[in-house]
Amino acid sequence: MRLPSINRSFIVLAVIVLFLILVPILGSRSTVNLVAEMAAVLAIALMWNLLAGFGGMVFMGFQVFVGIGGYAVFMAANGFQVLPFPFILLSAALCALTALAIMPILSRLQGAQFAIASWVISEVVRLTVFQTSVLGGGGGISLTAMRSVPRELRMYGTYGSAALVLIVALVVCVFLMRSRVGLALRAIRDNATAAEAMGIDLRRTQRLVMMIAAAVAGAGGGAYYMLALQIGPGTAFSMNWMAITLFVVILGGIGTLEGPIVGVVVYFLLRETLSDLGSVYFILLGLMAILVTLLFPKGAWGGLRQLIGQDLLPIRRNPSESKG
Amino acid sequence: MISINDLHAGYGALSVLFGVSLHVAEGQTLALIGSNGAGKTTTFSVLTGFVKPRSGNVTLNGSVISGLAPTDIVSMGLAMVPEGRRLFPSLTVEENLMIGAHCDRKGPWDLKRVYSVFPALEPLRKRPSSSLSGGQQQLVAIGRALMSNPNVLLCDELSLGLSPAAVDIVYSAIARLRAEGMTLIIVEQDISRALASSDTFACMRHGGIPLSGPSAGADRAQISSAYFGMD
Amino acid sequence: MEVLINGAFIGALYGLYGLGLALTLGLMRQINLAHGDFIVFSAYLTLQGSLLLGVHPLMVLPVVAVVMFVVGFVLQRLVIERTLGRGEMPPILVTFGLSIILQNVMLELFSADTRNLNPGPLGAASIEIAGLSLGVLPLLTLAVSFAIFWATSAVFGSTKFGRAIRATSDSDQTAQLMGINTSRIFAVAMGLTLAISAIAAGFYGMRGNFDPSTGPERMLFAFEAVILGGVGSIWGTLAGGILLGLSQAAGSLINPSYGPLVGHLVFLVVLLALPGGLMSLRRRQ
Ligand SMILES: Nc1ncnc2c1ncn2[C@@H]1O[C@H](COP(=O)(O)OP(=O)(O)OP(=O)(O)O)[C@@H](O)[C@H]1O
Ligand SMILES: [Mg+2]
Repeated sequence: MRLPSINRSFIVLAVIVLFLILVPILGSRSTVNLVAEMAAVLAIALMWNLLAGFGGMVFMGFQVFVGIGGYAVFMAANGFQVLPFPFILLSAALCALTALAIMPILSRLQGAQFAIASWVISEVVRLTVFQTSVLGGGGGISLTAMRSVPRELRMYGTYGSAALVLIVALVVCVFLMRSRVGLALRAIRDNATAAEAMGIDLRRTQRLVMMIAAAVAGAGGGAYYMLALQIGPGTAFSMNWMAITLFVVILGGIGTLEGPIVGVVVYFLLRETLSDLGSVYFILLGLMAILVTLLFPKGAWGGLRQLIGQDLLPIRRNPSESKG
Repeated sequence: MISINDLHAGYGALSVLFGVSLHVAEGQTLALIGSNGAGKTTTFSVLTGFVKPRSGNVTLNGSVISGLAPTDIVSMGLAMVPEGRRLFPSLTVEENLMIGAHCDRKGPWDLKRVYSVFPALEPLRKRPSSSLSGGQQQLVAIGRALMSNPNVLLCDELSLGLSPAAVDIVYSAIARLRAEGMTLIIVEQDISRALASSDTFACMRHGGIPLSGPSAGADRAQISSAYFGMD
Repeated sequence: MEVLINGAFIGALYGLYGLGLALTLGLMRQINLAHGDFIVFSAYLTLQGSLLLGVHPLMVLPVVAVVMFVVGFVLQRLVIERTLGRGEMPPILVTFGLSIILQNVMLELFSADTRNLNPGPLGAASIEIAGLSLGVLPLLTLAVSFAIFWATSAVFGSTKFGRAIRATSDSDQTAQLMGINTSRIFAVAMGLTLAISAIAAGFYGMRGNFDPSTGPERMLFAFEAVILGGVGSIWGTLAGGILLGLSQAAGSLINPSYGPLVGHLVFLVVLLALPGGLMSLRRRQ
């Protein structure tokens, strides 16, 4: 049976929301925390995929938004000594502004140069935070505002924040990619010059998508570090974030919406079972990333999709729909 | 000298050539004509090894060259002057010519001979190739291809983007190569010029060859109807 | 003053790191994100070799350079070649994966301890020039850098191989049409890239520390040297490297830990104000 693609997206989104609602009701404490972590990581990966997989902007310094998002929540909540949860909105706003600020540097660059310049920007922020004593310097800071929060509220609040960020990330992806912006993005990725000739404002589209991706990823970073309760420049702005993101996106299938969802499940399965191996675990991850890129560029979702026979979160309308 | 036998080829899901067969004898010139998108450049891409044929083959002096790598095809004696000339902008005129001799095929063509056939190039030898006029660049592109001492020379749309005077100069160079006994396949939009500079012609349409024959005394009405498909 | 001179010496090494990167960037329009990890890896090879044989690091450096040439050649042929022509993403993903693997392999083999190469008496030797006391090692470093840059530019300018490389950078397809085996050119270029970087790594290791996690930073410095100088210019990369080294030195004068930060900032400012790099200044005149 083939439903109109938008209805299919709604059903799949509803199933995910239902799952996210059921977890805290049925799951154990550790399950709730694990799913919260997965939700934050998935939101971040979806946003990187939006930039790189759909927009062709290979942003290798994506950890900058994770870090800024995390620090924003910590600083604001600690400053006012209030519940930190609403401050993920601040994380989002701050990251959107950061994206706006760095676009003039990045918008002229492409490919490898874009990748490295974005990485350097992230390094600048990391080194600056490292040197700034108000931000805790190299030692980082703890989320002291959380100390007076009761255990239950802390857990469900954090979980709720992460789940909300994930839902926003999914909804943004589905609707953005089905909108004119998504169409423009794909046109730009396929052929930037032709897209411009067709009247698509390349810079404006890229800036808009960059700000959205930064905002949601920042909120994801805020949620993630609420769970961690401790943040430092070495971890929050670490290349490890890039490694995790890439792994989730590549393994699942870059340039699809279902891919990162599959990828995050695979990644956490591997992590929960193999991470005791230490550096061997990372060697395995690296090897898998290379092999998948070379041999299965469509990732795990590419294989699953063949079995299922249709997209679950379609980003293109069915041919019959677009005629109407 | 060169035979193309029932060639089928395309790009990914797109099929472009549907059974192209051509033959050029040693010392002869074939003019390949046809409207935009007919598949002329694609035919050349198969000959030079950039597009692999789906079926059919190409033989040069009796040995099959289709399916070989572009580099191997050059060293077997097939060279091309590509559409749009495609000189190397960061190389000088002389360096562009020398790159043509990269595969070290033995034969009569060397820098000295190219300069004697195209005397206009000698004073420009140290100039960056991008500073030349279109006509001069086209001569460099032809000279560059000759430097590999080919048995067969392919020329794709030599007159593209050139002034009428420059086109005359380029085609007098082609006439000189023909007089020297070079085997050529030329793609040319200007049908009169194509017929005047060739021994035989083949008209290409939708990836097939509806009409071919000797160029001298070719029936223009017949060519037009094959060209535009008014059959 | 001495700090700045030191910065220039280190900068010359950044230039060497960048030289190889510039070669692959120009040829394949892509970069190897594991470049820095290969640099650190060759420093470890040099260390192990000199410990094993009980000789000065500079004695094993040529051997390491040859080994790294082979590594680069094989890497290109077996892995990177398969990513070409499939868009800009696969090379980035694959070399990032390679970077993660290399870092963790080094962690397994050599532990996380910070190491350096022992320059022996060469480290302290110095000569007096115009009232300034200059170390022999920095001078040697500078001489070797210049020699490599000079040799590269000579090979590029006036040999058949250099011509083929330049033609391939212009257009890989048209180069093939000329009978140039571009896959071989790519592989040789990747080999040279790692060999040159290995020599730079040896000299760097006698002045600074390295550990398995320092690769990415080296890669960023190398890339910054290339962009600062202007992509496609050999001597520009040396100039870019020296500018980067000087910026870092100047930064560390303000506060010892500001070095890399100031270097990055100078890079971003130049990127914004002078997208063509230093060499575009000269061209404009
Ligand atoms: N690299 C390519 N990838 C995909 N399709 C191509 C490619 N090159 C050509 N085509 C398609 O193949 C068909 C034949 O093109 P080709 O360039 O062979 O025609 P042509 O006869 O040389 O035309 P022209 O006179 O415009 O040069 C066209 O429909 C074209 O769009
Ligand atoms: Mg054509």
